[in-house]
Amino acid sequence: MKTFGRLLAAATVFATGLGLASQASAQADDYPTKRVTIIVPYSAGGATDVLARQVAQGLTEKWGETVTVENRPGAGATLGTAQAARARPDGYTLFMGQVSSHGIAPAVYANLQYKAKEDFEPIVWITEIPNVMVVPEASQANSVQEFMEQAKGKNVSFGSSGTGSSIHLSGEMFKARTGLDMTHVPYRGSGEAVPALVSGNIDVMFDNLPSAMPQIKAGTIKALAVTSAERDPSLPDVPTLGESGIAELEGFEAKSWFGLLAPAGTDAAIVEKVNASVNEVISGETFQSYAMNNGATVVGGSPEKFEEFIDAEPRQVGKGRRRRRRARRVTSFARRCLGSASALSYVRGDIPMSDTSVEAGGAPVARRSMRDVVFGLATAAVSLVFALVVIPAFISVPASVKAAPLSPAFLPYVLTGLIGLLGLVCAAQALFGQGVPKEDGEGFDPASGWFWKALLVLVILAAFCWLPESFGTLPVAIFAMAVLLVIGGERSWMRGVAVAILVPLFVWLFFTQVAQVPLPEGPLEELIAL
Amino acid sequence: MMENIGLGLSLFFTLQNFVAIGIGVMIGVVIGSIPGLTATMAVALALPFTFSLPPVTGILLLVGIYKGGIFGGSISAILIRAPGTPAAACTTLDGYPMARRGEAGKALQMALYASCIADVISNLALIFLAGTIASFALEFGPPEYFWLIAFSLTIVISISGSSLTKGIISGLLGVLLSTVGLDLVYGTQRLTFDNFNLMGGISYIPLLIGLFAIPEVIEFYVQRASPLNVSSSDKSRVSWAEFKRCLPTIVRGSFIGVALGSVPGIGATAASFLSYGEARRNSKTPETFGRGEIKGVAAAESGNNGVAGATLIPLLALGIPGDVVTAVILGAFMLQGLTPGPLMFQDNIDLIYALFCGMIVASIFLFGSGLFAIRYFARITDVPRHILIPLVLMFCVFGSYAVQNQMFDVLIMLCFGILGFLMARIGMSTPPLLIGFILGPLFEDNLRRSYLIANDASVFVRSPICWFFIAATALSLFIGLRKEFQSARAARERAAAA
Repeated sequence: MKTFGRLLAAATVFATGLGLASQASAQADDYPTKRVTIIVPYSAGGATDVLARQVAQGLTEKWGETVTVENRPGAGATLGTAQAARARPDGYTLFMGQVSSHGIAPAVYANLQYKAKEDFEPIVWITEIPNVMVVPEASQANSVQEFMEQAKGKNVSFGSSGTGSSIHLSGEMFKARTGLDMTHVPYRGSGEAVPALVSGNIDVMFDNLPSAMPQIKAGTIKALAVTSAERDPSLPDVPTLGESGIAELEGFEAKSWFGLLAPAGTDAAIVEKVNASVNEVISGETFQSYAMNNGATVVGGSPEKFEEFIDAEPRQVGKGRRRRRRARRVTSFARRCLGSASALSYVRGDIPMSDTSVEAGGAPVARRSMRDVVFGLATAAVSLVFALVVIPAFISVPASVKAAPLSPAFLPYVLTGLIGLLGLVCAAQALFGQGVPKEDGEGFDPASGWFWKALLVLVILAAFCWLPESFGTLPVAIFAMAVLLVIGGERSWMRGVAVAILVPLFVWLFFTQVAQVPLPEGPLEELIAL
Repeated sequence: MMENIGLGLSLFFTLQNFVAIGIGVMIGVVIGSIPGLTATMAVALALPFTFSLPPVTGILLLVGIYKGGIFGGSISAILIRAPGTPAAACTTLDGYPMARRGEAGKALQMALYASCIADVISNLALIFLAGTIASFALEFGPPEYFWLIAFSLTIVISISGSSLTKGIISGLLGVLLSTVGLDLVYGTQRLTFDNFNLMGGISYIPLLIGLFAIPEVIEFYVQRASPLNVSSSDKSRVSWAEFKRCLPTIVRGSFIGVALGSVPGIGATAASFLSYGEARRNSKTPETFGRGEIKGVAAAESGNNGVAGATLIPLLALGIPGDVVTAVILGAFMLQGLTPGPLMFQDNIDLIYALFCGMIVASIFLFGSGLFAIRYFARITDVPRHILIPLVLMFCVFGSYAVQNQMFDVLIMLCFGILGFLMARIGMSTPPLLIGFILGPLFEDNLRRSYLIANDASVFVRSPICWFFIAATALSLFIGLRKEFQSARAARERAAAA
């Protein structure tokens, strides 16, 4: 009987496997048999979305099965991309990839939830869009050469649609190649940046051609050059940056691109089929005229062509970063908490590179300076003193409060303790941690991330916890803190001032305002009495 | 000129244009009234349908949806305290108390009247002053924006409810929450705690739904004795006297909407709160605001609908989209091979006039379909609360999920629901949090941009616009605070006398 059961089980498994296998081959033949979804990592109405809907409409007509577009926006396209990477690779979930998800994000963000290469199967490269170097109408410069001459020795601001966008990246590449003194001024979307350019609030921008086109046509901004390797048919009189006659800009190429991908593991036959269908759709008249109107060049071609292109992409923007990411993976948990480089590593001589700002052409952009180390040590010292003052307050919780750890009276002690612990963490961070690189690419901010984040959260919590007596002053202090932190991000002396004002202010507030709340029997009162 | 208008009219008067506007407005009202489905989303989803339509028809369809959507948001805001669109958040402040009092029909009517009047004023501003306003809007650089936002932030005083300090804390909390996510300038992560979902910041609509609608749900279940249903099928209508009393508020709100709408990037939500704050400050009985004051509804709705026509000013006159909706509409223009901007006024003037006609017709359609919708929607308050409340909860979950198709957003909605409930319990009003959340990033971005472009604090006083808003901010602070202190003192004296 037992044997029979086993046989039966084996047969079932086998039959199931067989069924699955035959299903798999059938899948490729009559694909698609149900609705196909294209994930777009941006909200509806953007350039990527409109493109995806064009393709979806064409595919629906061709296949007779509905192809829908699903918008999964957020976190600079990385959220939707991560979701697409995790989708079932059956060909019914496709992804509209673009320069952000597969070119820039992998180079810029450390904690991505997907691997641009390993998690995706390229299907077809659809279009590409050049960027265009534009200046306000009132600008004296009429060519790149004139622009360079006027910009020499001056600080020039360039706008973008956001940090990490292709517009930002083109600007950074230009800055790195020419060595001009340029400040990046990010906006939220081209729609905000273009008016700033028109009115002359920013000096130059490397906008995507379609979003700059109306203003170029209207004559409110001047196109100096396109960033592609060849001239664009919609602006035949505008030279490429490579043609501009500046030696440093020869071979300059930066552009945005769009293409269809599938989750890794999708049947090759399905990929082939989708590729063929999309190629047909994009060579059709409707799509061609759409592309024309939007200043986009239709590319098309085989999956291999697209794969080769994507493979080349991340190396263009962040060669050094990948190596570092691999190195980071082997670091221990503790080191990851505190960061992978430290003030001590400066002393040892292995100088870390930037972790967050975009590097153009793989050039190192930030170095730790002696001043930063001194500042870091000072922060560590302040934090330590702070911790040593506050922690005793936590340790000496009165027995009556200890007996009821869930009572409201216990919360202040917990928070106090946390603030104290935070002081310790900050000290460690400043000593061993990896700071945040500064905007100008010179030096690190030693008291990075955790210090401010955690302190702000705890201060807010503390403020709420000591309601209502501590009203009035604390929120104002928090706001002052926020403002000072914001301003403090720009210049190191400002940061110094911010810390110099905030730490005493916080300590003072803590002991005068917060601690005056009558505690059951408080160690804080003893402290104040001291 | 007359010839152009004639051309425009002949281009406009076709049956399909009227059908497109009618359908658009109705779709807008329905989608707008569902929490989580915003006017922006509806416009974006309708975009592909415009590909095959003639330019005027297609764009009027989108404009109709937009206008309908902004009004539609107020329906659920008034009835179930869940703003259908972000711009309707302010309408909940007085609209919902009115509905709880059995005056849902009246509140909805006033919302409709205010919306339509503001819409017409906004359209007229677009038609007659587009060029002037647009060139003025271009004068706004980062420092000017900074002061404009600073001025707008002073409305926190007006919407703080019983305690000013608590209102300010609430506002600051909103500012703090708005910093979550990728930092604009450096791209570093702030307050994300390495959580991938927080990288894009806290989603706006889940926060909104959670903060406003969920506390009502919790409150209903927490209270032992549930309050009786108040029937709204009474003949609660806006009387002529009430309308006359509200008219100045509506007109003021419309102009605030037009002003904020024509500057790219500020939006309808801020406009409605600013209008509300102004209405309360100019009122002789500010204490009635927040407790079902019909002027509050009028102010909020005129503020946000005043934006609707005005956002098209920078789009048509300069080719610059002021918000996401107009960006989609710009896309529709481009797909038709048209580029909005000064050139369009030269090359396609007939089209522009046809559009203007259509927008006025859209206002009339909005009025008609609004009256029709109100009659049925107002009945919602007759549904017994023990049935209505679970439905509201369901809509809240659905609405939060629908924004990005993510469960994380539902979690955010619930967290903010609990926060909103706790804040209500300690008498801290939630609207300042929302204002802080909306204006915080604008405030910070423009502050930092100003420093980036100038490296010098003198940039903040560089133009007359700066000085104007500095003065306005100072004045607003002074008057607002004095009024608060006065009323606080009066209350203390009353208490002492008693």
